[in-house]
Amino acid sequence: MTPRKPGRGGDRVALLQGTLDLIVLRTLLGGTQHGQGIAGAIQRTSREALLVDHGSLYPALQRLEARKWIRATWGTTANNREARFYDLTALGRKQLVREVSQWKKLTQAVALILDPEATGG
Amino acid sequence: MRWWRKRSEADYAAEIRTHLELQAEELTHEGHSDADARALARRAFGNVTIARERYFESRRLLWVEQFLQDLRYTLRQFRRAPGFTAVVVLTLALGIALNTTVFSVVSAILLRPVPYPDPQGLVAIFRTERGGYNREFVPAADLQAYREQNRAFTDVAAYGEGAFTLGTPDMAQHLQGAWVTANTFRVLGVHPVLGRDFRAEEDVPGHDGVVMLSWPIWRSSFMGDSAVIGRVVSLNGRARTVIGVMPRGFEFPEVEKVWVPAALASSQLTRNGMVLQPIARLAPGVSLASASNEVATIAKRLNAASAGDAYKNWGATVMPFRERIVSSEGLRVPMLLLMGAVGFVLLIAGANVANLQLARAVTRTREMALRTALGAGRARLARQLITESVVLALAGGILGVLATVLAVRAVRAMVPVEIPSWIAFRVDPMVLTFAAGLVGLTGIVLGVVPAMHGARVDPQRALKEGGTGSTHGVSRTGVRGALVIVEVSLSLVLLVCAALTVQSFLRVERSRLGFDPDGVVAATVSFGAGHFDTTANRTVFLSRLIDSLEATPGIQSAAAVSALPALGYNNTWGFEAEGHPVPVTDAPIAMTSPVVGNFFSAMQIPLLAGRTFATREATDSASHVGIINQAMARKFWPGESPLGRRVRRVGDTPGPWLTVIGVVGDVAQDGLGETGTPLPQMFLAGGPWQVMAVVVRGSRDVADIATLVRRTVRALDRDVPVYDVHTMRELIANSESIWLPRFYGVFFGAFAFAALLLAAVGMYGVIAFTVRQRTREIGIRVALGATRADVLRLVLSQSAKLSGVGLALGLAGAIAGGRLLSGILYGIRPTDPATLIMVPLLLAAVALAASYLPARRAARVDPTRTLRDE
Repeated sequence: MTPRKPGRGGDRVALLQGTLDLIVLRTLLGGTQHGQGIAGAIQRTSREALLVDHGSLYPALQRLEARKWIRATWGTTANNREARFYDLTALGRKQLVREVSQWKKLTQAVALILDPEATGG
Repeated sequence: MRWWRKRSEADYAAEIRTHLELQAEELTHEGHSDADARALARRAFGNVTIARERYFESRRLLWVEQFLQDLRYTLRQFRRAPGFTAVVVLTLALGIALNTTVFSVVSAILLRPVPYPDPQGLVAIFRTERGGYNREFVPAADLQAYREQNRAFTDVAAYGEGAFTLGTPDMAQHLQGAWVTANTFRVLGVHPVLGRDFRAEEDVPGHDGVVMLSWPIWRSSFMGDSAVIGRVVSLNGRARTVIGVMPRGFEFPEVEKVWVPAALASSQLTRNGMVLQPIARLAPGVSLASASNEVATIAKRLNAASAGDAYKNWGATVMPFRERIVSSEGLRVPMLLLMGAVGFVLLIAGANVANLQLARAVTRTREMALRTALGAGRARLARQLITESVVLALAGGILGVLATVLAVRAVRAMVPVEIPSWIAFRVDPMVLTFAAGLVGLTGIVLGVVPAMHGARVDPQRALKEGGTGSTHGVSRTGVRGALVIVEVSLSLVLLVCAALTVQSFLRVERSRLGFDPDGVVAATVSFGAGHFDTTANRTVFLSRLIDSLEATPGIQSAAAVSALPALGYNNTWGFEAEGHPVPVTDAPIAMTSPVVGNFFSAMQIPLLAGRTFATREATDSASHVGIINQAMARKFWPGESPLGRRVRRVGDTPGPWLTVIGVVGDVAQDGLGETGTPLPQMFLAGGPWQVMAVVVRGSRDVADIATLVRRTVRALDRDVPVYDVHTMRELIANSESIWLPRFYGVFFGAFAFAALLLAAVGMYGVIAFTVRQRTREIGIRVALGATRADVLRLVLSQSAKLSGVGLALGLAGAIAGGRLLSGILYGIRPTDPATLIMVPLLLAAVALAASYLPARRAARVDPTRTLRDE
């Protein structure tokens, strides 16, 4: 098996401005997770299509924490390492609902413009 | 200091470390080697430092962090160069202290608002006369019209100042006070803190037996007792009930301490009757201009209805009330000149500091280059340099403000006249704001100079050259030279101004008085008490006082007069000579003063013709004889003898004919200097006023004479207060015509001294620096056979070139700027040739001396050592 190469490569898509917050919140809906876990989850769930600089993840986490959408505690990982675990707050859940519905509206609208035949009806 | 970030920074770093480890672990599981996995994890993370920086930037405290870093670095720099730091801080402190001190004077005189609510809306109505003169006094008769016929004001009030005698059981106390209309305090917007305000019905003769006290009088004469309300006191011999006490610090119109209702009788309400000074509150939205137009219209209507010719040309105008207390007309130009001159001092100080910084920038070239090479951005370096200069300016500013507090105290002591306390010079918020502005401006401007230099540093070249920076030498010497030229020229302008104002003051001080003030003590007595309401009673009192004084051993002569010579006029009238009738409006003006006793011998004013008053005349107010000065003789009877001629006061009801019995020499009545140009003057026998000055000439000690006058007055009548006891010399030294020129002289002298000092330091600095830069060149010259004299000449010629250009520019500036001074100069022209020759020579000598030290050092250069060192 060829080792997977993380980082820049191939036909990956750079994130749209502001979508990282949405993705992080959605990832945390699955449960408590640490930074590296979030990064891995994003890559896996998006089937390696999204290009996320792991470094840019942390300022985003910091931002979300400051807005009280997520909260953080130090804990231990499965293989006994200290890590900072992130968790959705009630406020964060609300925000996620809001952002998901906004995102759907946006993608529908954009899809309509790009391909009126297919979706029109 | 760093509490807000320390914990979370470590925390953040730990989190990132964990991430990298977890990622590497995962990659190892996938089959990468350990080292590979680490590298890949790091790559996937992107730039760790940038992530961290971005995190801190997101917290928006990065600038604080960087600033503190700059600050720490700055302080370390200063510790390493204490000499440089001390010179810069002291130079800036000197510049800022002088500027702030002058601003505390200028802002008090020109800007500080009067201490009443809504000061902008408080205005004064002035009477205008032909030729654009503004008169403070308006006939009380006209007041009613202004009050009733206007739409520009919410209310009109009026006041008149006067001397009051407060009778207390042991002694009479003199108080400066004012008659006010009942609504005056309401127009001002100030209410009594104790008791009540005047009522309209108290502003009527017969019902006006009330008095309002000031806070200090209440404290000093009534022990601050609140039971004082309702108490009856004796004021000018009349019983008045105390109705209230005004708030602490309240003075009106100037330094007055007691107020009574104006209560004008209808007989006083004629256009040549009682005069008052009106004030008013502008109605909301009314401008000064429209209010002026309105009072002018009312004045025209009054003139049309008035009978006398004298009033036909009267007009009226409205000005801010402030103008009545501090007339800006004569003060604005000198104040702005002071401000401009002291600004020059700051420019010179700034040029000096810029020069020092440039010299230092050269030695720091290597440091800057190193920092650039290590990745510091140009902006970051510039910020570092600006931080340094802002810190220097701040230190200078703090030191400067502390010095200002002391200086302002000294300046206050230079004003010998009693001024309203709200104008008193002090370091107030406005002054502090000004100081802060100066500090900010100086810091930034001075930071830009080295920052611009630092931005040009090419790290590769600078590091290779080992930091001597000789490649930039030429252009920088140009900038430094230009700064020294500016310093020399500005210093010359200031020195010329100082030389002119100081000479002017000396000339004023030495100008002709026309009398001998030495050995004369003057005191003021006030006849407020009821039994002095006739001139006959006052004459009797004064005659007895004079006789008693003259009977004392060591006293040569004593007299009383209404206005002391050299201290101003207080009564001028239009006169006509018998046989030369003139229209009222064209009548020549003369000052009249009643005298009792041997005034001319007490003041040593020479009698030139005729005789002085006989004892019988002096006590008889119906004698109608007068003694005139030369100026009056020349004006009224040119080329003829005035003895035996008669004059009378003009007006609707002319005064009695007065016979001239003697001619005396002119005295500088209005003060020294230009204002001392003699005006026609007539001394009348007897008829003393309510307030008279007593003059005593004696061979005894002046302190003894002062005590004698006080004791004698009190022994004769306890109800006559005696105050303002001074020697004639003191009074002259403190008179406006002397202290203002002295004030200007001291200020310009201080500026010039500071400028001279700074320019000398600047010249020294620039020459010393060039010598250091050219050591190698000089070494070569000496090796090739140049003598010490040659080297000395080489260095001094550079200094001479710089000062030559500076002096030429400065001379042009002094000639152009000196014209602005002409308004405050007496007896010397701004283009005084001696001044314009001597002052540049002095400055040239100082500049040469300042450059001689480094030049001598250059001459001692040892070629073998210099060349080996290179």
